Formats: sequence, C-alpha cells, structure tokens
Amino acid sequence: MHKYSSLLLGILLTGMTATGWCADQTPEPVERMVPAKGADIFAHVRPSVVALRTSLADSDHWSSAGSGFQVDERGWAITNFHVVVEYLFNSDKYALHYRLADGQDGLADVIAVDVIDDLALVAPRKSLAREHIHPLALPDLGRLPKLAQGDPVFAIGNPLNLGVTITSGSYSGIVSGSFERQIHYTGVLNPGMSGGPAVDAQGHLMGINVAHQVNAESVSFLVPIEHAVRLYQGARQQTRPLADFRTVITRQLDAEQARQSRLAFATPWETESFGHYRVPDILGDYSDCGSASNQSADAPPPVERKIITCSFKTSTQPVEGEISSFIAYKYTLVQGRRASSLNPFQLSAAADSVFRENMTSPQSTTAAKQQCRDSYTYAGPKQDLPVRLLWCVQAYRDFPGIYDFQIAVAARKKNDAVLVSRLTLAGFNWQNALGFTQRLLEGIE
Amino acid sequence: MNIWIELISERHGVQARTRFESFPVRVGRGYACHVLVDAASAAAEHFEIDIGEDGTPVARALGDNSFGIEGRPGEHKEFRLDANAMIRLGHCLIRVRTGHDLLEASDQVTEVLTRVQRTRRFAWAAAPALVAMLLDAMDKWLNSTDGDFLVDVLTTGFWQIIILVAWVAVTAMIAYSLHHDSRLRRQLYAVGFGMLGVALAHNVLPFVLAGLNAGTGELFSQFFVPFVLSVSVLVSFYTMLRKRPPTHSHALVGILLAAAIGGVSCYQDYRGDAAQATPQIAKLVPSFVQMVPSQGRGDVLKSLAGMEKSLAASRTAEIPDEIRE
Repeated sequence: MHKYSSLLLGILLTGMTATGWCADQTPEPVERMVPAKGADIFAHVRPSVVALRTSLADSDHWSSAGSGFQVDERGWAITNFHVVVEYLFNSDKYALHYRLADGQDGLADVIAVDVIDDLALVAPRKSLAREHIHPLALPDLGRLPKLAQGDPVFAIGNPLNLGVTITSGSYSGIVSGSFERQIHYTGVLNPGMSGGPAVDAQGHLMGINVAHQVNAESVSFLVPIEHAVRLYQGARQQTRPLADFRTVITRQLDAEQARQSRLAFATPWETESFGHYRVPDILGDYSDCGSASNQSADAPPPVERKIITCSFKTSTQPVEGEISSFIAYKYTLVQGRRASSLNPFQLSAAADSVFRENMTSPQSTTAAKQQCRDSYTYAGPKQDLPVRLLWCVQAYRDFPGIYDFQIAVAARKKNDAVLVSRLTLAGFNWQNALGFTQRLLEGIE
Repeated sequence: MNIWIELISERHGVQARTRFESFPVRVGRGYACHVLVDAASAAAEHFEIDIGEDGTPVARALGDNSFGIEGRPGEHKEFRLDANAMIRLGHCLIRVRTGHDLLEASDQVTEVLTRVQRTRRFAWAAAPALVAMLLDAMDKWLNSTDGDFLVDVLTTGFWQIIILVAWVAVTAMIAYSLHHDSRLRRQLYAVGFGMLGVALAHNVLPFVLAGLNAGTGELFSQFFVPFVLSVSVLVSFYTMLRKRPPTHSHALVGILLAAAIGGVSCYQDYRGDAAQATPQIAKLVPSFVQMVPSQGRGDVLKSLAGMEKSLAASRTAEIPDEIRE
C-alpha cells in the first residue's frame, strides 16, 4: 500500500509538473475579466500593442507609422493593410520595423493580407523570447462579442508616434448601408493608431482601428474583429512571408467587385426625375448622395449646373497610391440660367468641361497607359435618346483583370439642357463594368 | 507724232526715257528691238507700240506673246495706252507718254505707285493672320460661357497682333529682297496662301473633326507660332546688323533655321509630354454637328468588350524612363 501510494503520488506529481511545463511551452491567450476603467483596460492591452514603422532600408527615419497587436504565441500581430502597403510593394527599398511595449524591436514580414477589410498579419523576422510575447485573445467566430448601441469601447494605438495611448468612445453599430460593414466608433482615432486594437469594457477584442472621418469630430471606424479572426485562421499555418501578394490581392479585389456587382444588380435600379431627364439610382440604399447647384443669390453665373453625386456609404479610404476599389457616380445638368441665353455651341462648350472632367489620368509605375473609346449610341428603355458614350479604362500593371473605369454619358433631349452622367468603377473587371454601363444606359431617359 | 517710252523701276521711279518718232516701236529682250527689257519672261520680240487711227498709242503683242497692264487683271494681246497706262513685262514696267509736263507728273505717279505696291504687298502678308484672328474670335464666341467673350478676345488679340506684326515684317522683308524676281514673288504668295491654309486648319478643323470623334492636338499652334516669330526675329537681327535687307539666300536660310528651331522645340515638348500623355477627347458639339452615325447599344457594348485585349496588353508594356524617374 505504501509502495502504491508513493507510486500514485509520483505519478500525480509528475502529471502536475508536465501540465505546468506544457503551459509554459504553449501559452494560450487568457481571457480575463477586467473592470471597465480606462487605466485598467490600458494596462491589460498595452503589453500586446506593437508599433509598426516603415522606413527606407538604409535609413532610420520612418516614412509611415501605425499600430498593431499580438495575437498568438509567436508574436504575430494584426494591423491594417495600409500600414504595411508601402513596404509590401517596395520591399527592396523599404523595411518594416516593429517595436514592442517593452522596447524590444526588430524587422517584421507580412504573412497575409485582406485588402478589402484593410487588414494585414505581420510576424517578427526573428523569433521572440517568451517575455516579449503578450497576445490578445482572438475570439472564436461563434463567440463574437455582442455590443449594444452606446456600450463603451476603448481604442489603443500609437498616434503620431507619441507613444501608446488610449481613447474612449462608444459603440454605434455597423455603418448603415455600408458595403464594408464597418463599426462606427464615437471616439477619436488619430494617425498612427491605425491597426491598433479596439476592446469592449471587459477588455475583449471587438475591432481594429482603421479610419476617422475627415472634417468631422468623433466619427471613427473600426474593422469588425471577425475579419481579423478569418485572416489569422487562414494564415496561421504559413511558414514564410507572403511573396505572391499580387495574386492574393487580385483575387480579393476580384471577389469584392463581384460582390458589389451582385448587390448592385440584385434589383432593378429605380429612376428619379432630374430636370427633363430621369436618371438611375445605381447603389440604392447603399449610396450616400448629395446635391449642389452653382447658382448663388449674388451674381449667378450664366451657366447653371445642378449636380447629384453619390458613392458607397463607407469611410474606407482607397489604398493610397496603389489600388482602390469603389463605385461613385454623378449626374450634372448643364443649362443656361435663362432660357435661350446660350446658343447650342456655347451650351456644348459648357457641358464639355463637365464631360471630360477627371476622365483621363496619365500612366505611372503602377497604372498602365489609359485608353478611351468614344461612341454615339442610344439610352433609355426604348433606345430613343441619342447620347455620346465615353469609356476610359486603365489597367493595373500588377493586378491582371482589374481595371479602373471612367464612364461618361452626355445626353441632350432639348437644346436648353445637357445631362452629363459620370460613373467611376475602381478595381473592377471588364464584365461587370459592361454590366454597369448597360444598366446605366437603360436607366437614363 | 512723238511718244516717250519710259522704263520704270518700282523702287527708283523712271530709269530711262526715250523719244520715238517712227513706228512701230518693238519691245523685247532681243537686240533687234528698239526698247530692250531685261526680264526673264520677255520674248526676243515681245510686243510693239504703234499709233492707232485716232492718234492714241496702241500696244500689240507679237506672235503668241501677251503682256500685263498694271492695275488690270489678266494678260492682253492688244491695249489702247491712255495717259497713265503701264505695261508690265516680268519685273519691268513700261509707260508711254504723249504729253508735256512729264517730270512733275511722273514723280507723283512713282510715289503713288510705290505706295500702292507696298500696301498691296503688306495686305497680302496680313491676310492670313487677319483671317486667323477672325476665325479665332468666332471660335471664342461660340465657346463663351462666362460672358467675358470680349475680354478673352482682347487678351488673346494682343498676342495675335504681335504675331501679325511679325508675320507682316517677315513677308515684307522677304518680298523686298525678291522684288527683282517675279517668279520667286509668286512663290512667296504661294507660301502666304499655304500659311493661310494652316491658320484655317488650326481654327476650323477642330470644329469639323469634333463631329468625326477625332481628337485634335496642338500641332498647328505649336509649330505656327514659333515658326513665324523665329523667322521674324532672325531676319530683323540680320537687317539691323548689316543695315540692308537680306538677299534671297539669306531669307531662305532664315526660314530653314526658323523651321528647325520650331521643329526642335516641338520635338522636345513631344518627348517630355509623350510619357505623361493621356487620351485626347474630342469636344462635345451640338447634335446637328455630329458627323458620325449613332450605333445600336448592343453593337457599342460589343465593341467595348473587344477593347479588353489591348488593355490587357498595355499592362505588360514597358514603363517609359520618364515615368520611372
């Protein structure tokens, strides 16, 4: 009995020790219940926050900066795609640096990207010691935090390279009608906080800082955490940095524009009256429209311009300098301020500046030479309205099958008003652009 | 009856005056003639002057020849010579006098003649530029949308007057140096009409081509303006330095130099702009100017689909050095 007791105790002790050893070797992110105080939230999250900077390979001076946060035992971190885009496209000229909360720094690589949701997964180039790793737990997809309108939210990041700070605001739900399904956060996000974590009152991850609305106060946006979860789960088995990112981005953009097109084509476009014309409402509930006129009370100009301009309800800025994915459209009615104040040539000249505005763009290292096709055809369901259709297309050198389309349609029903319709499709494939064009022509009457 | 036959130079007036009492008086290039004229277009015996039945001198062409009468169009076979009639044979002017107060009258006529010649020459030179200015003003009126049409016209008119003065100066200097050779003068007029054609094309062609969906570049204005200014500057400097007008060969060298300067300037601009060039878009025009028929929507969409191949190819085209820099 004594012999077996000893054996049992030995086994028990061994088991306990083994368990402790395994815990040391494979640390799991631990969910902790944290009280809703900013200081406590900050203390809880700060060890996980990573400062990311891009600089020229042979220089210490950084050209862009952002934030991120560790998510696993290897020290891999989630950040925004736009934080790492300059390094990604110019890795021969730039270097991506990280700095941890405890001052540990080094070079990082990009493992995976989600260009639509503006996310990226980065990893330190050299393995980190245990004491430098403080991951925040990514929630399971089936157990995402559920917040109600007005619940407190805290965003942490490294604004303007001033050091890690925390801002507080409230959860205002998913932006209504937004294609990208971003969270409206009423706190402040400053440049440099992009990619940092946003947590709820219990310190649970619920989003990633992504953008703020220019010319507005306390209107900021977060990427919902589930997008980061999907990104990480899809890339956690990667063993080397992302090399073929162009193919990945092309695939993502293609899928996104296909999704946008499906939503836009799902129902017939309603038309609304605009002067003598009717124009289609391309994006319906997903659009954010404004109207304007150039006729002020004092000294109105002889040419009147009424404008309706619409775009997606989204705050996502196009990825700077590389590629963007969005739909925007504008209708402009050009006419003389008084009936017969312009002869036909003068009216055409006035409409011409609107027709050709921002249609063309020069080639660059990322965009190929633009080509335009000019034709005369008919608009309207009965094809009874003569119009001039101008298509200007520019291909991306690095992304096959993805183009930027500028489409202009000029219609003149009577000699006193010209309707100029402009449609911009950025990051679209040819087939869907043709579909939009056909629908646009069908809808104008 | 006596007549006096005068040989007149456009620049210096009466060069020679000879009295004749017997008729007919033969005029031509050959030594058998009574009056010798040194004109390349004159025949050996070109025409003769006789006295008509009413006592008025009459000029008659000999053989298949003909002659011109100053101030009258066309060529003549026979002409009654009144008091101030002048026969033109190439660059030579021949006048027949029958009255007395010769010296005083001929000085006045020569001065008037010179003024008439110069005015006509300058009028020809100014005609292309004047037409271009009128067309440009019309173009501005048709495109005016802000009510400042007159201001625009006066502003650009200032520069157009500069060009007009330069063009007149160039043409006058070249014509002045070529006044001894009527063949080259005709060539000068041909150049003037050619430049008029360029001015017309610059102002009218974009208007017409807009209906043909063709874009128009800045070729005419880029070449026309530096060409005219360069020629006028070069010729003016030469005249100032040498204190005499340029000869034919100098004028031609000046024109070639100006063309080279204009061409180099255009080429440099073209090289610099080519990499950044964006597609040209024709202007919107009234529907009644549209010169291309409308196509069915299906056909247009099909043709747009056909563009994809060339756009895909543009993706892999080499990046110009100017872009890389």
